[in-house]
Amino acid sequence: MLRTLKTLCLLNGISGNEDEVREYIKARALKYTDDVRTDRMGNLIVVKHAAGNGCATAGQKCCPAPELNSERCGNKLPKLMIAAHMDEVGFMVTRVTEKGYLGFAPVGGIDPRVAFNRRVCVGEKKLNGVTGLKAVHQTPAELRTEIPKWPSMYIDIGAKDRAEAEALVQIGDSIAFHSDFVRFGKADGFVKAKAIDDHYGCAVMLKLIEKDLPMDVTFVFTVQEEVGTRGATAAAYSVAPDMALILEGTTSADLAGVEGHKKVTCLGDGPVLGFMDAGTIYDRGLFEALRDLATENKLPWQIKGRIAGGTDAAAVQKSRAGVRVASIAAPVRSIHCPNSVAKISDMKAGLKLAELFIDAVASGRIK
Amino acid sequence: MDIKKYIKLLCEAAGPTGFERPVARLAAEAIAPFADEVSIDTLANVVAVKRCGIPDAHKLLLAAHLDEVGLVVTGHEDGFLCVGQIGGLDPRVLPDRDLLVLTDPPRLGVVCVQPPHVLKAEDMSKAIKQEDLRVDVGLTQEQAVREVPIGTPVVYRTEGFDLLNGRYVSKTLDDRASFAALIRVAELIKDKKLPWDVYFIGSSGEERSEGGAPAAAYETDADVCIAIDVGQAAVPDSTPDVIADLGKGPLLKVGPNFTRHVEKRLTALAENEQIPLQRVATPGRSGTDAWFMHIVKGGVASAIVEFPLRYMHSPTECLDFGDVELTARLLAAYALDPGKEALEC
Repeated sequence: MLRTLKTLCLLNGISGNEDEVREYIKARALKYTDDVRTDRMGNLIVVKHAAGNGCATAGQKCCPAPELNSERCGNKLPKLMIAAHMDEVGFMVTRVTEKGYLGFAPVGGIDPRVAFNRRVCVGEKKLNGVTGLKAVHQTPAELRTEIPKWPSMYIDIGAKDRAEAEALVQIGDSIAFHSDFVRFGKADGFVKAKAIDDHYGCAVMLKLIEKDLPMDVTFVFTVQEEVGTRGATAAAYSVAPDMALILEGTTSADLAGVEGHKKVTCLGDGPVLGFMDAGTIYDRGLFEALRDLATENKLPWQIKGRIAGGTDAAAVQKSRAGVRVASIAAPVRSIHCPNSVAKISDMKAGLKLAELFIDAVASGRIK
Repeated sequence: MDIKKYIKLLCEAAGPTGFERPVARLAAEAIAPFADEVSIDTLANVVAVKRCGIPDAHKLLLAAHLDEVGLVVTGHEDGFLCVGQIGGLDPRVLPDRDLLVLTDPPRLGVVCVQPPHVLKAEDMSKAIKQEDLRVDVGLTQEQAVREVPIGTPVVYRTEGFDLLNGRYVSKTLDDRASFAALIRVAELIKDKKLPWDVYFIGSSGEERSEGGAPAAAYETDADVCIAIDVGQAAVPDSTPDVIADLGKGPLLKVGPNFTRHVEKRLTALAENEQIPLQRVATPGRSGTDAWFMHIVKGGVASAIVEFPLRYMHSPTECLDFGDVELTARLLAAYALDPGKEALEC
């Protein structure tokens, strides 16, 4: 999974411009199933059919036509959708200055305090750029506490003037952070990269697609989560699942000096099981099932110490006549930053738990 | 000469003030093919010399500093590192910054930043104070205390990259790109007849001021010292006093730190060689090695030649290769033809 995660994190998929990520995932998924489509919003919908000719368990028939609802074809198994988002936070070019600098605005939630002196990748031509801030020598100590507002920030691509910049860059071009993928910490047990939220979820789904599954599962790689769970809204409608599992990266603030629940989640304490966040009160039965599966299988798990953030579950849950939703997330420090940090043990346990969840649905344990 | 190769080699190495010796060794090795003698002195200055062969010759000293701004581990809290600054850096560039912690072997560190939702709205518009910054090295408290002791230096870990038009971004262009320029000077004068001995100094300790350069000026007994450094280039949010532009040639600083005859000679040579010069008024302390070399022994004639640099002391400093080449050519011209006053002083 780590190799896949590395590849995915190095690709750019700013909300609304996820093509690069989708093309990679699509090519990988097509090796394991023919049932792959991209919808009009850009969501990638991959159906992985049960191994063999039908369900591997309980002699149950699997849905022969995945586009049909499970009930109609007589399958007693719920239609299961697993989703993760392909998009990541980034920026967009908003203007070009007389001297050839680019003005920009955030796409998704970015803390302006991490936006200075960053290497960025601009537009389809993938121009190198760097976000500017005048030198420390020009800033008296008392002003080094001020964080400039987005409209006054700029990107330097080395252009000599407006004409040169405009020949290479268009208003609206996507801008991604440039950040490498590095393992570090005790026993190299941590990784730092951009876009762990939610290329982690995408990596888990690719690993699941590569496995023999006991039931049909519809994997949805969604777009535009970071600007309001928009892709998931459309995908949930067209997939029409009975049940959905959302795979995510979630906030961790387990830093020095942060007390108790303010840490939100802790790296090393295992995958985070969604029970409630700012967007969703997760299905209680599914939450409890995940919790029990983790406990029985000696996998660590935790819940968020703060009711905050949101996932595609918010959109999926309210789709059509309602969908039962659950989530498994890896805790991530510096989420939405170029140097997000996650712990490998949490991510691996999340993958294992997702597998156990599919097995439990397929066996009828989770109804 | 592929000056970019030298800039990349030197700038991506790690050597904050006080810990320059590994970089000094790299720099000494890089300049050795162009010099008659190379050594590293007590204070970790690289001292390379190109002899003219004249007995009791006058001496020109060209100095670029090899140290860089950085951080140093001052404590541990819940496994995260507390850090202090080495040299002047803006704490605003640090949150979520990836760093190289100089243990053996070096390791990655990431500066922690609390996510927005655990902060009050007003916290988001204020920078995190330097003393509140912690570095994540993926260790428990016990491991951190053992593996990353107090006093361990820390530097930025930017890998250099190109922008358009021969512009280049890296950490530590201040001032190792200037040492790369000195290697270019050494190449330009290598087979030429020199009127004096030319010393190339890779100085230590500049970012904490009064570092190794004055000691090098003392031990070499230089007659003229020129500091090669970087100067502020204008960016959209710079203060109005910053008038120099990237890509428009070297900067010549003018003020009490600079000896008139050297300044005049450099100006005349620039005109002859058709090198554009950007003059920068410097009414007092110049903030470079020249400030201290000027008053070594009985006084040394001094000047500063700089090339313009954007985002100085940040992990993403930006230069123009054209400016570096012109700076090297101007210095080579001076080394070959410094005028009567320099050779008689």
